[in-house]
Amino acid sequence: MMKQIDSVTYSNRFRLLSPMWKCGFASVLFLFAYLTGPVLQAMIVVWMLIWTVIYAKVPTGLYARLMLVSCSLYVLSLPALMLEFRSAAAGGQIAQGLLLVKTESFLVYVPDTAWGIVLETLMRVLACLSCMFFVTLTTPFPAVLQVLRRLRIPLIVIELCVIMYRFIFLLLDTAHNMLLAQRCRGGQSGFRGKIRDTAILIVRLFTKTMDRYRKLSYGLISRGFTDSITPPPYEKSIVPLRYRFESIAGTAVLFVIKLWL
Amino acid sequence: MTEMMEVCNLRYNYPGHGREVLRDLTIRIPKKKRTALCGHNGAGKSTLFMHMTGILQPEGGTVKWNGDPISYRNKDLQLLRRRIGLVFQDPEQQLIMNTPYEDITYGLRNAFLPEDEIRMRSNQLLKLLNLEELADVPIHRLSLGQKKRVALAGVMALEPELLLLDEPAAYLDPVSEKLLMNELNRIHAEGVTIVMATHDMNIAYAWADWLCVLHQGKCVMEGTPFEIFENAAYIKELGLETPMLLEAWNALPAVMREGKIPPRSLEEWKLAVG
Repeated sequence: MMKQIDSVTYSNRFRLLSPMWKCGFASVLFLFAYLTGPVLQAMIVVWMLIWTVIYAKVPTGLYARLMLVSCSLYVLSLPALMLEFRSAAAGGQIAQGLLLVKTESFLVYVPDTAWGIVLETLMRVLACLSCMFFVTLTTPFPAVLQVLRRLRIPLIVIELCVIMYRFIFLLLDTAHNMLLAQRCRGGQSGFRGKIRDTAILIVRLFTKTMDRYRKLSYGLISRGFTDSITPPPYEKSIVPLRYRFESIAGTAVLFVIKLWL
Repeated sequence: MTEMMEVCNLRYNYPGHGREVLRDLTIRIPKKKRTALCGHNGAGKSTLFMHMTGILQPEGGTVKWNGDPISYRNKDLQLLRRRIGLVFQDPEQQLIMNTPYEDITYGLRNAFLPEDEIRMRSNQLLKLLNLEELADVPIHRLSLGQKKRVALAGVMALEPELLLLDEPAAYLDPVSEKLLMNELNRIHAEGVTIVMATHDMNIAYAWADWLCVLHQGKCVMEGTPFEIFENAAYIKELGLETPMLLEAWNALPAVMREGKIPPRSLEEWKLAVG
């Protein structure tokens, strides 16, 4: 999925739009999503979906899959949000709610108020994710780094990001090729075999990474590496008037609705 | 013959390696020529390149640049590496940034050039190497041939006087190889001295003006391709091949070859035989 996301960031229609504007716009809506209620959050979800899928032409399937995968974390946290435990000795009566388990020592139930919290959290998660996906699916990573640089994030952080982004795909490819090689030679079969071969793969990946690190340091030296890896400075790019207008007008409408509600 | 670089009695041993990789290696790199360093894997070609750029320091012997021994002070090495460009066999080893455009600018930024000049030179180079369409494509999505060309562009951006290429044609398909060789010929025509390490004797024979054969860390032969391949028996003794074109030429009846220079390319062959 990582490769697919990376590919989409380079092929969507918003690719060349100012990354600073995209990040700014998404940040404002993210703030709205965080501070407002479910109605406005639902509007943000729909609006961001229009921007990302219809305007930027990000594939709907990818968008939906990303949303589902991200929401799985929310689903995992649902028991903590919904379930209430009460000791039977301390009264054992539930005020209002759905009783799930009752034993002699305790009872487990879902209070009526929990549904509201679940819905509120779901809407907030969806709205915040929509804003995040707008940036991550429409902006190539080097452009995101330019924004970080403009925001005066320490150079060492940006350097780490540059190196990570440059080599993460290489690591994935190497791991994939090694896995294929193991399978071709009858490896990765059975539970014990999988554990053993995966361990071998990790060790080999580590030694390969160390070797690559040594070679890369030669490469850096030969290219006149001084003290830092400086990415190119931020270059201004345009945002069509129509998008600029729609973003401002839409945000203003959201603000008015917020005041009204 | 004027030497641009001279290596005298160079000795080097990688820590924990056991035996010396370079053993009293002496070699001369003629100015403005295309030199091929030939030899098996492990003959010491890549190690020699790392000494020529000052990445490794010899345990014995000297490396001379335009007649003077190179200085290993940081500042001097920085200057030397602007004059000598090294293209590694594996482009992943030297492609640092995320896109070809960014990567070409990397070396220029290290040389503290003004941003306007960096932009101008990078764009010029992208155009020259036909990489304009790939300028903003992430490097991990390029083919090996494209990565090799980007690596070459990144090194050429600094306008080096000497270009060192470690197995540039390795793993390339014929089309990518041809593109790369054309590019090298164009760079050489602009006055850049080029040294290519290769174990492909066909490429060495077809391309080089000067040939050095390395064997077990020593330079055992030096000369023009014709001088080198005259001693075919010794070449075979070293476990190297003689060029296919030359072997085919020598297999022709003596009458057909008489008074003619052996061809170094298919085009020259057609002219000589036809």
